[in-house]
Amino acid sequence: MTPHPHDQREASGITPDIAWTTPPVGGTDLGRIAAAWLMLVVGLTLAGAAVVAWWESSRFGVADADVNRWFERRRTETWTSVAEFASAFSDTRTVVVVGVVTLPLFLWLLRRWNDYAFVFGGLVLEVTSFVVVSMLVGRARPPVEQLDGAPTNSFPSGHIAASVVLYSGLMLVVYAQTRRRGPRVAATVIGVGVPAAVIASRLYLGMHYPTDAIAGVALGVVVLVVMWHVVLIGDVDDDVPDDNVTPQLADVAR
Amino acid sequence: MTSSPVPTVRPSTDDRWWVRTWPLGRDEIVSLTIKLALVIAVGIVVGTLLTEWSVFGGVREFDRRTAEAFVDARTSTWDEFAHWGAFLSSTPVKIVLTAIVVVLLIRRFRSWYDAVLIGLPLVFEATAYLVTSIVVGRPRPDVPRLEDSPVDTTFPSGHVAAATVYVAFAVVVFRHTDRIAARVAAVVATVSVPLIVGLARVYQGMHYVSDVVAGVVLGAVSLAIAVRALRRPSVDEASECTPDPTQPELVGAGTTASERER
Repeated sequence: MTPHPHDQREASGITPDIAWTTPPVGGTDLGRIAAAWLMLVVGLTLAGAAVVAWWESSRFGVADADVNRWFERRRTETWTSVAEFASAFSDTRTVVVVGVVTLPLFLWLLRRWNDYAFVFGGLVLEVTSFVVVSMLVGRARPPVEQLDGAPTNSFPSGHIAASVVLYSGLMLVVYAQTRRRGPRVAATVIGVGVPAAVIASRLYLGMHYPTDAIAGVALGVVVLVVMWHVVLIGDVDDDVPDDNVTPQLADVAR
Repeated sequence: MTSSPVPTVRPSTDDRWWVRTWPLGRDEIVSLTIKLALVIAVGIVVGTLLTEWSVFGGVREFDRRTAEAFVDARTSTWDEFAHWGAFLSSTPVKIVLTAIVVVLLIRRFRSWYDAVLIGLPLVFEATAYLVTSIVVGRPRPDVPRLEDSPVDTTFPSGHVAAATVYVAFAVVVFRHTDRIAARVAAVVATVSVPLIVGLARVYQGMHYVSDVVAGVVLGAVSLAIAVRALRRPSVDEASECTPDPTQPELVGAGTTASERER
């Protein structure tokens, strides 16, 4: 594998203060992303078609819907507002606004495209493949009352896929840039906790079967794996040696 | 302060940045709590007078008429714009944006100062808003509303107050760059957000105009109090905001050359 342009400039001693003019991906990378997109769409569409054709009418399919009914029986006003709140962290609007607003901030503060491209490029890959698969598979929503509106179909869950790419992706950015325990723990709480909350909320709201949720997680994870290999987000400078003291709350709070 | 022979505060020369740069000591927290109580008290008095007192009947009449005028002017296109506009200040967006910005700032500058400058006014504003709106309990405009809200009270507008606090982003940009383009962009972006959000919330029938004005005032006051309360990085506190030395310096970033030499 040829060194990434970003590495080449580091190696050649060019100061990285113009690193943001270096695009995070080159021509071959775009080809790999396109190949990944195609494989994602074909793979998920086949899986979705199999679910609609064989799974839904089987007793597994009944169990699938039973999970939604279980949630429906437990609906209360409070839990509904909690679920709507959790689900909103992965709404298209939220993701779009966060993506647009943080672009200049990522460029200014990290002085390169890579971290932004990793997360938000991943979201573009996710949303484009999701829309096509959802349309091709055309799975109907679960047989319970839907508490949220959506223009797409049930398989896979776009909310869940987006939450994995965005929040677990940001977690990976933190992991790639520091070995310090405090930031890593905080990142893990968010990177695992938010997608988990989104999964629970989408099932509760009757928007998705558990199989849609699994497909959504799979889509998100595959996108992150692809982006991880295409866009380098490794440590620009790992300032903290392994033996460094982890910041303790007592120190910080004084 | 007491002249205790043993310093109760860690010396600012501590080489661990997360100790050295923490800008909130006990004094600051006490002072902030008192100011929070004052802001809430003023908010409750103003809100109650505005809602109940006959002298402000004219304001209430103006509020009612503008709310109805906006309802008459509704179109489906503007409904969509208003939805997006109000969305800029919705809670999930606010939380995610602030979290990302705070982490990026800490990473770049190895300092708590900017992160706290962004986070503290938001916490201050949210607390003051919550208490004030519950106590005042002004009912939302009596017009068809375009959004659901779990909160039934309208004074002040929490959306607008939070949107005003986004101006903290501009304060941070000003601290770190002299570039005119960056400064103008930061001011235009952060000042237009509360205007857009305020207009959208009135259009949607979620708030009266006076709630929006009160929201702007609450946000601005919270920001001003937070900026003043934080221990400013000074020459004595060895170059608190020097960017990460392994990363290149921005033009005019935050500290002067003499500070950096320390």
